[in-house]
Amino acid sequence: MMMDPYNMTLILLVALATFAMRAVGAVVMARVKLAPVSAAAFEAMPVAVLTAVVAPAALTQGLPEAIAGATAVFVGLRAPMAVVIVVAMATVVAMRHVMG
Amino acid sequence: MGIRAQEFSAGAIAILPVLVATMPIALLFGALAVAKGLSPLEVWLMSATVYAGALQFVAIDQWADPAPLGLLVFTALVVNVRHVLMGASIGRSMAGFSGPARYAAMFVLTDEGWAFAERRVRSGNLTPAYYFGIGVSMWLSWTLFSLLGAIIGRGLGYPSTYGFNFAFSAVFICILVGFWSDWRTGAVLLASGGVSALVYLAVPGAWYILAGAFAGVGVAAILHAETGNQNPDGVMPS
Repeated sequence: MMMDPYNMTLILLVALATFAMRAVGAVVMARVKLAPVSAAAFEAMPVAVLTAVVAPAALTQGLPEAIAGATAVFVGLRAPMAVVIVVAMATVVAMRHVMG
Repeated sequence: MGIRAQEFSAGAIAILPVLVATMPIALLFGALAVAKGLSPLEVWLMSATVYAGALQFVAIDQWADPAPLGLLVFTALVVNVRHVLMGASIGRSMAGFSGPARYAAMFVLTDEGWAFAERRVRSGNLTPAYYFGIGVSMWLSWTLFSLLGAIIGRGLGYPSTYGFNFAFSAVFICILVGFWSDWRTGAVLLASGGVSALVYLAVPGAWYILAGAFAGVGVAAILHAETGNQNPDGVMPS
């Protein structure tokens, strides 16, 4: 096992860039007092960001993923997360198999 | 068990399904990285310090000898822009965190860990112990299994065959279902999901998350301005 100095520097620089992105939002927001409208916008941030992350994976990858996504919504209303994961994965695999 | 230990294990237990789903992804990352010429120790260093699944796959994809430094750092900034939003959102619920704990919390910020932390905020109180129960167990699992993947090497099979890549979508959908409060949630969902999917199809790169997030947040702000009096606590009261 070896560590090339150039590779090590590069990895640490990428790590620094990643950390900067993660830290800047939290550190700035801890010092900011929000007007009501911006507070409302921030209340919606978790839903908005999470939806934006997951939408392409569920909607643009084909019918198996879309069906599995809808199944996950339905099962997620009642069942615990572990069940939802297993059912969604099984649905994707089964649908890919069925639809070739 | 003290309250801190209880909170820590509650976080670690909550994230367990995600750990299971991440294991094959981490193994695959290690195997791919070694195939691209990194040593197992370098694979471990990247997982331990960069600690960002999506970005690490992109970085390995662009890896060459010598690796393109400027391109990779720029990619890191672009791919992780979404974490500015996630950090800004969860940062508002970290009043109980000390200064150093806040930085440590941001170091272990991941999409999945963040979503679980936001869920905890809604169901009660996010303590540092709960947050690090999630963060530390995810970090340990990711570093351990990517190192293992690097040592075992290729021949692991591709996780998409088994639907593992969809496991994360299932986790996010499950958490989103729990975030539902009223029709305004639906409006934010539609705006964010629609714009995100369209931008994903039209624009290369990771910009779709920013575009979708701003569309959703914009709709929330407009709805607040129009219906604010009926709902003084904000668009989605927690």
